[in-house]
Amino acid sequence: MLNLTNSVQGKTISTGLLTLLMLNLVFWGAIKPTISQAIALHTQSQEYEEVYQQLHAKNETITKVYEQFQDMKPQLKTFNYYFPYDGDFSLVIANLHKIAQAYGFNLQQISFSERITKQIRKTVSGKLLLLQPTTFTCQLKGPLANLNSFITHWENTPFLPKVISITYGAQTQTRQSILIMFVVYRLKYNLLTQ
Amino acid sequence: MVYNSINLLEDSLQPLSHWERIYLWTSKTAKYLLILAEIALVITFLLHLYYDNKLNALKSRINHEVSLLQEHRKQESTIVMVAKTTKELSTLMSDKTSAATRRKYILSLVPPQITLTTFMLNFDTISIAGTAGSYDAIKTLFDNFNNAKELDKDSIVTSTSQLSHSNIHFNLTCNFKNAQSNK
Repeated sequence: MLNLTNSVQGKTISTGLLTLLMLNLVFWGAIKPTISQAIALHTQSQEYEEVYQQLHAKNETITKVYEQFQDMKPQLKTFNYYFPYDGDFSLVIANLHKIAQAYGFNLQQISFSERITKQIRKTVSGKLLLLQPTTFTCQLKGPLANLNSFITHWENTPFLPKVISITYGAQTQTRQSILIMFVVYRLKYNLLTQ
Repeated sequence: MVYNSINLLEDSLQPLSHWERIYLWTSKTAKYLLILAEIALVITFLLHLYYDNKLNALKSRINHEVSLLQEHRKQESTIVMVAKTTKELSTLMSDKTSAATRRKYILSLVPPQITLTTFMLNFDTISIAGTAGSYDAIKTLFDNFNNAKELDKDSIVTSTSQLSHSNIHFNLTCNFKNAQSNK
């Protein structure tokens, strides 16, 4: 029988075993969990760093863009003229009247409605979220020969009008009565008070 | 006479047995291994502390950024709204279909022998009516419409009625090819 306490051989084996046991205990009980936790913390800190960078970049972008927005406010003011959020289309009507006159047309009647018909809903105008299409119906009297030039001019104004309907009957006289429908837009929100 | 003496010689100088040498090596190795393990433990603990501190610092920086972001929320919504509005406006500007161009195109298909009594362009649908002196003129008109590249051939609906010998009335309805209203 091996004497583990007194003989040198016994002491060697017991020291060796005890060392192995201690190393195992230190490694599995302390070093490994601490390393695992340190790795987990490192990964987490990398993720946090990424989140921080994104948030920081977002905040910086917002600040910069908002500064640009503040600088551009005078230009954006024109948005409210061309696309009046309060539905005041007097500038649209005044311009239409002036352009019609330039092409020899008289604006005889004008009406508008914000009702979005099934047909409008299927066009680009019907898919807008921040712009409310408003349909204008106007009756003009003037030379048919100038109608295309007038419509082209009108459609190229900053109001971005979209002529959706042109109707006229038999040409019995030089000044033809023409019914035109077009869509203009108004902002749903006042951008400047934001 | 008795002599007292001190043995100043180390054990190792004494002849060692095989097992004694193994024992000495094992105990020394064990000692250094345990020291190494403890150093490793201290290092990992310090590492843990370092990352813990780093994480806490990052958390507070993130919280600061989040609070800033909440302060910027209104500005953000304004910017988003302006961006969306300009995008919608550019969508409208990119829509190149023009009623004037369409009218011009339709009128180019009508032969000079025909007199139009009604012209109606409604979204993508075109409807015309008129009179002609002969069926030949009406045939030319219908052929022109049937061969027109921008028109949907299948949507063409025509009708004619003879009012007198030299006065034939016709109606024609059709859609432009990108018509959406009738889909």
